[in-house]
Amino acid sequence: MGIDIGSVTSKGVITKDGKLLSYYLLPTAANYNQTAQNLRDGLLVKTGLTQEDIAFTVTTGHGAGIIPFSNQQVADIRCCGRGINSIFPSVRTVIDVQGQSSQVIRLNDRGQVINFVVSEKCAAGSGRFLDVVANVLQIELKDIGPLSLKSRNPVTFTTGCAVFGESEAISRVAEGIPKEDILAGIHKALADKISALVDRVGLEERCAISGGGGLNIGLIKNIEENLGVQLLVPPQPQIINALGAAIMAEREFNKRRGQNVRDT
Amino acid sequence: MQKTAGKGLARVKEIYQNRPQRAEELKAEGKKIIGYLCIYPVLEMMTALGLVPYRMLGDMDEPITGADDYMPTIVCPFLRSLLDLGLKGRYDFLDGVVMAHVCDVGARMGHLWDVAVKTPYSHFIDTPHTIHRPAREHFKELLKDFQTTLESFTSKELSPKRLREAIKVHNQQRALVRQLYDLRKFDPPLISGTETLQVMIALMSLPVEEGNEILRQVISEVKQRKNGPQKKPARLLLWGSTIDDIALIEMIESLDANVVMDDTCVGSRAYFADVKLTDEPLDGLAHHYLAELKCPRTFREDNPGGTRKDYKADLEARFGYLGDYAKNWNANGAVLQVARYCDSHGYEVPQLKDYLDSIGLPNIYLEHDYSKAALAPLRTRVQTFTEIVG
Amino acid sequence: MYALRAYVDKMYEGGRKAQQEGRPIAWCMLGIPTPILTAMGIEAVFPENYGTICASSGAAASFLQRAEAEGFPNYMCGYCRNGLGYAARMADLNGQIPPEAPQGGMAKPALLVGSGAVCDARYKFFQALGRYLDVPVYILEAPSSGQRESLMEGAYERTVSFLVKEYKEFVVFLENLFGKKMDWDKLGETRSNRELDTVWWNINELRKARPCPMHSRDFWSSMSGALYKAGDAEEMTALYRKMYDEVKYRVENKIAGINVAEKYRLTFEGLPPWHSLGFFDQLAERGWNFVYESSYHPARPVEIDLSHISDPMERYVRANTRDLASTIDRDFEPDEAAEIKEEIKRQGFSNRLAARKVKEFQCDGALLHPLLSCRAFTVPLFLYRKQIMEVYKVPSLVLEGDIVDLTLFDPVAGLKKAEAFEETMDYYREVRRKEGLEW
Repeated sequence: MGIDIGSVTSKGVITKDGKLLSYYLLPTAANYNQTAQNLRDGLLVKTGLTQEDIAFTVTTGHGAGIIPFSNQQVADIRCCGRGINSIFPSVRTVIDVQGQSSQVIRLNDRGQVINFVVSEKCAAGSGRFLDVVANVLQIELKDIGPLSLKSRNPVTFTTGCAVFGESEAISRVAEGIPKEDILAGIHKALADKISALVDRVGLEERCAISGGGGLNIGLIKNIEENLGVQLLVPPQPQIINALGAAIMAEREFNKRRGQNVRDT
Repeated sequence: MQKTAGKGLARVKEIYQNRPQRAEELKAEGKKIIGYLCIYPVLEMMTALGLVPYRMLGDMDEPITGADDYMPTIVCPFLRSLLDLGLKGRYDFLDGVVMAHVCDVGARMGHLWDVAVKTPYSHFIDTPHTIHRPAREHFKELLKDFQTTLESFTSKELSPKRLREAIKVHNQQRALVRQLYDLRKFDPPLISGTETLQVMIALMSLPVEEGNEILRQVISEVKQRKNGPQKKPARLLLWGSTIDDIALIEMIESLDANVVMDDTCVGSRAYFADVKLTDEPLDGLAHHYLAELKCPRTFREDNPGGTRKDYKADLEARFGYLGDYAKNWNANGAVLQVARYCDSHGYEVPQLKDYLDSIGLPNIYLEHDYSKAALAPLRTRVQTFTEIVG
Repeated sequence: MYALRAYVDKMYEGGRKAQQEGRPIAWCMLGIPTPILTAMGIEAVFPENYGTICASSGAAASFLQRAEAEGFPNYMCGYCRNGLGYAARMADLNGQIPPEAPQGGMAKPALLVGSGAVCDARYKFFQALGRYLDVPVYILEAPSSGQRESLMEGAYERTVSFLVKEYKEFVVFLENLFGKKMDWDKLGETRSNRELDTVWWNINELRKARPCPMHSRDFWSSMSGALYKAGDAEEMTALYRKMYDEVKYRVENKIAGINVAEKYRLTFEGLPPWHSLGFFDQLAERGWNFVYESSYHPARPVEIDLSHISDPMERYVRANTRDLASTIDRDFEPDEAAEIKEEIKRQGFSNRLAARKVKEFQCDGALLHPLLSCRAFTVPLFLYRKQIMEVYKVPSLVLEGDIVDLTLFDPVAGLKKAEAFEETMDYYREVRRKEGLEW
């Protein structure tokens, strides 16, 4: 089992023999412990399994260390690498766009981290930027991507700051600029920041996207345009870290049992 | 030569929209263009050798992306923009760059530029921070080093005669700029703050003689025209960090205010003192480029080397010239604008406010991040301020 | 090394004692020629060091708030804002030390002596202090030419000549201000300070050993004596000699500076997170040994023959001012030194010069600590990251923080990134091995 406590949403995954069996999502409550328990309960109900059936649990994300049923905590960046590698073994660069930060991770053929960079303390570099503007425009998050692609005249956001960006969005609304143009602009601004992050560790193909950002078609298209590559998008991009955690759980369990595995 | 809009303000606006145009034409004719950062590199030495000095500025409309790889976000956004433009090839037409020790990040920019952008000729002038006598003498030695590399780059000799001629022409520009600024003393001013900034930016994009010609045209034009700025209750003095885009001044002048005077480095700072023609021209240049440029990066005080400390006298020594500006241009308010992360100007603010309060000049402090997005929230503040002073 | 820690306390105590006894004290900063003050019987106190004390003890928050209330922008250097807030409080109390000040506080000075060494913001800071302290501010010049310009013919001699004149004018000022004469013999006596520097340098050279016998935390807690040169040089040298013996013993017996086996050798770049030094203990548990740190490091002590120079000020300046060309000659073999100088003359920089420490200390990784309120230390980090990767395939981990604001450094997230970074370091070890590098 893999449990990933995110800043906004928490995810749980159960795998068997390296394959995804089931996944479950919940909004993160103030109590991480409780959230983790609820995730586990939800997963067990979905799969019809019991606690005893779970051989090993790896937790990642916030508060990973305080969850009592965790057998091991692993850094989210490493989980991300293993998770993507299990779905797309050809991926060597992952762009992980989360609610509070974005990271770009370079991987080897086994999903191990060979380099990474994280956008720091800056809402403009994470999904938060999109949240802020979606809020101003009163559009559901799931709709902002497709709507942004309808724009024919994107607004240019020149500020590097989400606070100023929010205020700029408000100004544009007041001027009567269509929502899709504002959304297109904000998607481009975030994509530009992310591409700059990619430059810092270098791009090696294939390249994939994960995290909540992987649900946003507007963001995907903008990043693809910037980088000149096609991004591989996993079917459920938000659960990649939890998936990776579950895979590492399995490997660790097998290692401890002394079975033959390729690597740790 | 490309067809241009002709003369005066129309030509100025054309250059403002497409700064490198003239430099690129001159380059095609075989001239060498040398980019310079800030007002501290000595322009006369470049002009004297037939080089065209070109002021390096940022672009408020260009989102910063590439620079993130070389500089953290917590530095002056103007300098980040500058480096970003370099990385994007916007300064590829330069044959050389001259940078100086203008501030912490500016001082490191020379090195970063060498590594990240690479321009054929490059020189860094370690301008001292004080105006102590040993500093002024040493600065002259540093200028001799600059002369050495310039001569090597151009394979020409920088003779005192050439240098004196260059000083005269640059002094002519300074005098013409002061004439232009005099026209802002009227009520309403004959030229707006927005237009003035465009003129200054145009000057910094042209060889000095061409700039002088445009200045004469503009002075004549604004004296004669009927559709100049409107009379407005607030007459403001604008102080602060590098301002190389009209967005902020335009915003202020769209409210009940005229910006009638400025103390910024893309404004009056480089022009309000002439270079003295000394026997050895480098003496006059060294004195001017260290002691007479009034940027806060230079440490100024009342009674240097003296043992008595008087805060009021100190404020007068450092900021008295702003009081004079306010008086002579009849300003009834001051706008202190600082780009976020600018240390040189940031540290000044409380003391400058003390001085302005002591002479009874109302003032407002605005912090921005060199983006147009940042200006919108400032609008209401400026509007309220203009209502107070007007 | 608590004996050395006591010296730092002594410094502030000395300042307060001097004030009580009517002896003059001066607030100074790193980079100013403190021995000149000492030779004139002036006690030196360091507000920037005090900033680290306030940060570690948690007292900084109220001083920072006060500075902001005074109108200083909140992006300015944390040490400076801390000092400004402190001075504002002193002004409230008519020059008395604020009761809430940690470690007994800093006594009111008779003089502020600053310079642009390390960063320009520092002399703007001292200038701003003039708002609260009605004492003279003297700003000393600190030449810092570019690399290319430093290699130009005669550049070093011109710098020496400049500083001699600059410092002599400073002495005239001090003599006028304090009504006493400079004791040139005392200034001329630099032997004990040079010995101090030599012992301290040798201690740090021992850290090249595998495993490294001394971790950065030990460096930071014992560097003050050599750094500030405000104490008795002979006493300090004796203390450092004892430290040398201890570190030598560790080398001979292969005892690491951390209590577990050394798995990774790191260099720390930037100013340390004084308020969260415990973070390094958590990394040490994972086998991370910090063998080098970019800041506060001594320059290689140089034996130069000054016997033909009679002017004590010139002797002082020559002994304490580096010449880039000679530094390159000393740090590299002749062929490589020539290549590096050629590189600098041609393109203005040399990656090999910039990256040399990771090679000398055989580092597996660099921990970069960008500081949200310090531009001088943060700007070079980004370039450094590229340079050590390009020349020696050494990766970097970036952990943001601030020098006084505790809330900006996140040790929990940092530890997670450190975990992922171990895989990165493992990978690049392989890369270096394939490229034939020694470590």
